[in-house]
Amino acid sequence: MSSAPLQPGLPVATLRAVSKTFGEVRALHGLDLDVPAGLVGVLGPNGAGKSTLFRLLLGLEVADAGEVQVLGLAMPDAALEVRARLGYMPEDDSLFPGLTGIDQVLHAAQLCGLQRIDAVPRAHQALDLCGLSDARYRPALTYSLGMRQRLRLAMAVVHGPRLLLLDEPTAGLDPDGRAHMLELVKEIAAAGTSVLLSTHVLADVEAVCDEVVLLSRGQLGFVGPMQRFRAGTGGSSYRIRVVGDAPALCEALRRNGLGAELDGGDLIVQMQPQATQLFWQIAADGGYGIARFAPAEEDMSQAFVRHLRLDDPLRRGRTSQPGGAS
Amino acid sequence: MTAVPPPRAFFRPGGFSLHEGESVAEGQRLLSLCRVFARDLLRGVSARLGAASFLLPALGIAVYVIVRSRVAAFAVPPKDQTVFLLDNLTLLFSLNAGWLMLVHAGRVAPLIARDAWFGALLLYFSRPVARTHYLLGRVVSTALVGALLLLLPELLLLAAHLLAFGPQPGGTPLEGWMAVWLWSGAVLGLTLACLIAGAVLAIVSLACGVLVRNPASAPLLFGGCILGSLAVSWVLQAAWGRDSVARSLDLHHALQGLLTLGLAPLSPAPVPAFAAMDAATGVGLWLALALAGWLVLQRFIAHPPLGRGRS
Repeated sequence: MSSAPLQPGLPVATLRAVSKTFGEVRALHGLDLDVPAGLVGVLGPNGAGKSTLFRLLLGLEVADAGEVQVLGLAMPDAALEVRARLGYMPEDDSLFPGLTGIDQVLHAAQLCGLQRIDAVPRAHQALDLCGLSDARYRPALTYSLGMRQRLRLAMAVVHGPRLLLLDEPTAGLDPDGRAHMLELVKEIAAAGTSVLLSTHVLADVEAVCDEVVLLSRGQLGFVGPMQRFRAGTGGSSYRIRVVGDAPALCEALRRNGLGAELDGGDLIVQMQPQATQLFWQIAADGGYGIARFAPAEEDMSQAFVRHLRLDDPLRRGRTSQPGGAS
Repeated sequence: MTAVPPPRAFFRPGGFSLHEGESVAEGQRLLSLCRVFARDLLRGVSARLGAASFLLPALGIAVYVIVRSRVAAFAVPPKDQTVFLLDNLTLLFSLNAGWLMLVHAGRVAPLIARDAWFGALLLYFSRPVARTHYLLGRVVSTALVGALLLLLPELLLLAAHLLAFGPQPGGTPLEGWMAVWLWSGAVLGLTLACLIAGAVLAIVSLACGVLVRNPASAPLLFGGCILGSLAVSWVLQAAWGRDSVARSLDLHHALQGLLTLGLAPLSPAPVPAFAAMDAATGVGLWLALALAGWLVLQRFIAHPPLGRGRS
């Protein structure tokens, strides 16, 4: 089971023309995706295919068409081998019934093939890592929701996986619990484990992820670094720091037909790249100093909506296609 | 002096690290899974007390056997000693089989249903556990634990008989290989009977849980089958007579057919025709139930519910 940590830059999973249908519902449709190594946020609206993607990566479902490779191994043929190197924290409140916290983690470690002599110390250390030291001998069903989430994380990482799949790890957590969970995720990723974090909480992805995968209607909406995800629409929006009277410049830009608004001390100006000449002309004529001129980053929700809109044929006014479900 | 290997620190203090230790080989996974499941069955004080309680009837009967061998007033005539042994073994099996059925209803029948209910099936199958391995692990661990719970008291009683009456049942002088052959045959027969009883009980009780998919209802279904078979058997016995096939329809009685067949080597005379038919019918009934149960389990495991609750 022990293998070298993943090579940076190489994808941890590769999907080629993958389709999966459940009855009438098309969950994934011709999905081509190289899942990058590192801390990757998997985003998408309900029914986008996130859970189906995870199940394909785990070998719990078999693709109707296409090829799936995880950690360089073909699925579902190598499913057992892959799962030994993979950690999974399900969205459901799943636990082994009737066991204490330590027994849950120990059981999970042994199921992953660890010998008992290895599993015992790792189970205790995993609970320490997740802040459950004091509750380890309590029945897990008496844990609070936040403790159960952390317990499931301990169960997912106890065998030291190379790839960790987290399905809504912060769902139902209070702000402190969420911050703690995200800290743990960052620490695990820093040790060399690639993490796929599926969530609807955009702030979580923004806080910890380096890369983003966006699924929409069973197809790939976006894959790439966080900065690119949040970058504006092809440079049409710019954040500009003015030395001098920013409101006056804002007014001048509006008079010349450029969309401009104040955002704190900065100006957000909407213009096509070829129109920047006009901006510089107006700034020079007014004698304004420009300290910063950069493409404006959207916040996560704006970027999320924009990418979905780009991907959604209905919103682009084209013929609708059958939707998917996860 | 034995060199003590240095402890391996898998986690940095307060931190996370990848596991570089040895893993259980692929072929040993099923064995390891069976061990884990067997430990799960015997987890907790009540489970261990329940397991220990299977020895109580054996101890009671053993005391009775020793008293009858030591006190002249209660002595068993040499010609009746084998029948006395067989009767005691059968009585013990009957008591423990009934108790084991109750234990299966309460503790085994809900096992897979409980895993499905609490979403644990997803936890198993998202780890390197094949679905067939999970099923085999559950059945084999339950069957072995059940078989041991039946067999150990029987062996204890057999040892008490050996101690009390010596290795010559029936008063016939048996020496050397003849005695060894007889007693090893008895042990083998007992072992086979207990193994088969453990296996069929495990399969049928687990299948009952899978059918209802609810850990609370599973004991009711399995217990209902046992009690229902008893009721049907009684009604039919009233109509057809006690020495009819109706008797074998009682699942508790039917299970004893295994012991009748298993102890044939020890029997001083051929098993009477009715007893043989009764035993064969009982065994056949249980085997048919086990086959049906196995098909139910196979069907369930091909498409298991992978979420929490009854999906």
